[in-house]
Amino acid sequence: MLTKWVRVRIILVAAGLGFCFLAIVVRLIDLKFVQGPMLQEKALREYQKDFPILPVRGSIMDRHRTELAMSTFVKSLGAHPRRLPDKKEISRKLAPLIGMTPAAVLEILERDRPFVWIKRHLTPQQAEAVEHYKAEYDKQIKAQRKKAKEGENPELARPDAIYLIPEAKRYYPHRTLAGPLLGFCNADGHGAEGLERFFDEYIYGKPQKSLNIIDARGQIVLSSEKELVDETIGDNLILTIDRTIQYITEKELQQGVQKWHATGGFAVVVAPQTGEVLAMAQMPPFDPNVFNKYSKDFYQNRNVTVAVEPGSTFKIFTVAAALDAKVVKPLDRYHCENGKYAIGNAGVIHDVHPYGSLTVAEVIKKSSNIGAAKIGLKLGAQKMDHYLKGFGFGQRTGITYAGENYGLVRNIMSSRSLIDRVTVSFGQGITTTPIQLAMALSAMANDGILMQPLLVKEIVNQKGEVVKQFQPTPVRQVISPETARTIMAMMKTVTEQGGTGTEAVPPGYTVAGKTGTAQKVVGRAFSKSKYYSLFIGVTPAENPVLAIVVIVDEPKGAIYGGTVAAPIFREIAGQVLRFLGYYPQPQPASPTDTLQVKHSQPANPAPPPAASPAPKLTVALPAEAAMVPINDGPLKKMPNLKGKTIREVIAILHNAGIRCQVEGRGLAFEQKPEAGAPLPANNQCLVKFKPQ
Amino acid sequence: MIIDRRLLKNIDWLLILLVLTVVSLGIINLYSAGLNQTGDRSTPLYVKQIYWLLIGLTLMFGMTIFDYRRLERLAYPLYWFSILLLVAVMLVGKMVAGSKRWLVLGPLTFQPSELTKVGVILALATHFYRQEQFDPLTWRQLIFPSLLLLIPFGLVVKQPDLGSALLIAAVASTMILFVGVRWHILATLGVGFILASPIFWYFLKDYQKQRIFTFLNPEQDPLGSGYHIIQSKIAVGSGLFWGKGFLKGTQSQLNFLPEQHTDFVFSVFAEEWGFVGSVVLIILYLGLILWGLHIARACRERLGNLLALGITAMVFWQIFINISMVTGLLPVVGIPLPFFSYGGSSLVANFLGIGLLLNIKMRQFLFAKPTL
Repeated sequence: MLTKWVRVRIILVAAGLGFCFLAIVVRLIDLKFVQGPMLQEKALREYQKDFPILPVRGSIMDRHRTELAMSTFVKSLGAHPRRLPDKKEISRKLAPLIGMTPAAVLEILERDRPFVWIKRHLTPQQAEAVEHYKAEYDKQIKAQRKKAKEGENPELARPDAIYLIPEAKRYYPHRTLAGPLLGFCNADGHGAEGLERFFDEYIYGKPQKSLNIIDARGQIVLSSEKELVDETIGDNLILTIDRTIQYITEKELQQGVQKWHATGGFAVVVAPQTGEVLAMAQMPPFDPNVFNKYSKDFYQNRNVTVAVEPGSTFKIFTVAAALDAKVVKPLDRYHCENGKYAIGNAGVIHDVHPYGSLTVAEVIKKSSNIGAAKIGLKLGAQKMDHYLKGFGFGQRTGITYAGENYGLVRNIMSSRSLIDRVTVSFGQGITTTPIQLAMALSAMANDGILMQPLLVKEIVNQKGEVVKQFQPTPVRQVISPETARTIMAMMKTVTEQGGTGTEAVPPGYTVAGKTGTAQKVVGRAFSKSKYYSLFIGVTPAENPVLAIVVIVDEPKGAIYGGTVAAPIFREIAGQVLRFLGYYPQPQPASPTDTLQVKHSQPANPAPPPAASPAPKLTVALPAEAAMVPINDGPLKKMPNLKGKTIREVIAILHNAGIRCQVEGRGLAFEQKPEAGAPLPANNQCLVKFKPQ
Repeated sequence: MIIDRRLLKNIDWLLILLVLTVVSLGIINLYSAGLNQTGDRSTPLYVKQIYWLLIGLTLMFGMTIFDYRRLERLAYPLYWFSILLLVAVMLVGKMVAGSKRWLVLGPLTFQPSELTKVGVILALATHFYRQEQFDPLTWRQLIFPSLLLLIPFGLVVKQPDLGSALLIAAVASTMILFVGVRWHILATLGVGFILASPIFWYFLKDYQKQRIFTFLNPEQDPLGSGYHIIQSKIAVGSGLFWGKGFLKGTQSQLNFLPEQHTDFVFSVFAEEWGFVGSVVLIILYLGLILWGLHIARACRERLGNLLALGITAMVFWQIFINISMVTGLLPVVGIPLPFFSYGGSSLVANFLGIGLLLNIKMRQFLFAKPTL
């Protein structure tokens, strides 16, 4: 009786309980398989957080890989306002540390945003003070949280509510050197002007997302940030610019501009056979480190963006065209009307000095407007137009730089005014950018082949692989090689006895060039008092290495190119040739640099930089000679860098082939490896700087 | 108190093996769940749990030495003693997080509601045993068992500890239903309960009401009252089939999962060992329960039947309520998972129960003739 009674009931109970277990298993199946993927997604969202890692810009270097623009690391102070309950207190304590008023800090913290920058780019001292404060603050908060351990109290501050974030800041160690050419970056780290802007997509780097594992309190448990930082660095831009040549050019241009109390000036140095721009200078100077202290006018690289009247320098192109079109011969004579020549009823052309009969060569040498006008008339509008376009006037050169000016070439053929058609022959009523002028000049020195200007040699990534290479690119054969040589010979006479450009010749070298003086157009008329003073030339005349354009804007006291611009040309040409290893006569010029790529093989890539020995510094730059110890032989141990400026440190390490990461600014106070330690195996070192 | 050789021969090793397997899994799991819960210097939770296990095992074997039928005489005294303790808790109990559940005895804290469960089981078993009644219970016969249930129930609700109270009610109801109740009474009670539930609602504390709201819609307050259940579901669900691996549960190791060493310990296990591990554990529990019912059935005497059933029901309802709670089938009511959650009171109480089952099993053949 009992047994049966129990058996039946136990089975009923077992069935009931078993059913309950079944319900649990069904629920597990539901959670793990039906809702599983969704719940897994939720789990991921809880513990994985993406944190953007800001990229680090690559460097801009000169042709020998000296940094002209580089990134240094500074710290910025950010905050999560919603995690800060005691905003007033924090503002009061933080403000004096970072040189702000408590009200200003509070205003930032009270914005209803998940994240705010309190202050960007702290000085090292400020960063240290904040770090110190934060350590205290964190301790305090931890104690608070411990006290109220169990409760989920949203009123409690979280330790990660304020923190320092390392950020890359752009630094231009040579300050004004090539400043307008390099441009600068905005606060977001994007290039805003200049090469920084044009090549931003390469230099900017790759922003990465660091995958962080966080725990329930929002603290980071694991982060992939460390491994990713290297990948965020952008590519390096290797320019064709040579730091030393740029320095010489800027220094001489500045001295000339100062001497003649000019408002400004331009100078471009080009290797005529390759079209490589070795220097591109302009005055007044511009320091991209403190770009916001300048007005916007200073930002532009005006060698590319501004067109000027070329004046008499343009005669060489008129004559070259006429010779090439075979409408004149070098020894043809033109009567120069003793300085006054009326063109129909349209107007009168004047020469500075009255001349009688001149050969074509003498028209160049003496710079006769009337002679050039007659040659231009003989050439005819149609052919003139053809050659002007051939030399690249009125068109963009295709230089890798934003905002290039076309220059103004009126349509000569359709112009009804005869005078307009004639004045072009001697460079009036036409404008050209300095870079256009330099390239057209280079064509003369390059057997008549016009090259595309090169500013950038190559783009190299952080592993040293070439990402993009820029080859010398011929645009067209403008004039025949014979014509080119003839016109070069005529240009050489300009700098010889009796020519207008005798001042342009550095002792021991030869120059083929042309002077020019152009009235500036003010409003719609030519100014009577404002001039451009020009000298464009090629040196050495027989075996051209450099094509140089020098333009002085509004010189005072003298206006003629031969007086104002030619001496600047002379100083630049002489110093640069010596720097490149071309010694004054009687020795024949012996090239050591890679500039000598012949135009017959322009497609042949320049040998890789690693293989080509850097040219020896035969000219010690005055600014650096005093600071940089002369390096006898390669370094074997880490030098003592303490107390040196960033510029000095880079120069020293550069000579030893060591790449250097720079932190802070001012004078070096810490280095890794230490002084006296063996050179680092990876050729990398870290130097920290602080202001005195 | 002579130990018969037949008794030793009849020790139920299978039951012991089942329990030890579950406890071992529990300790391994506590190693993981406790990893982030304890400070550097304090003893890890799993070590503490091993100490409690040793105490529990000792008490379990202690429970087998005497003949369980002696408990018949002890049942009511024990019951009233536990009621006394519940009253004591109300007066001098330790307040933790808004409720008084613990008595402090020197270095030990003790939760009298654990003892009450055993007390209620013993008292009900003794009552029905003495009643010798095989027909379904009438209204009149229901009064006394109901009182045995309602006195401790009311006291525990008052603490307030809704979980333990519901558990006591569930265990007692299982026993009463096992004995049998007339159909019309069951039907009347069912309808009455439904009609009276609004009144119960009135008596619930605010946080208890909140739990029920939260149970119905946890997403309504994901960072507050819904946090526990949402996190638990995420942990269980994201374990998928094979689990994330030992010590690799993200939700538990990164502390998203609250109460992970006590009430939500199953979520840690389900996250790290997946569906496979959970089902293995549930099968072990099912084996334990079925074996308990088997012991109840195999005993040829009514006190043994009722006691074994009551103990099995106690273990079962804890398992069911706990797992249902962490998987979101029931509201969060704070019942630990037997042999798995960290906690001395619970572990010792459950081992006492297992000891009693062993006792009943050992003596199942001792009766030549049924007591009836």
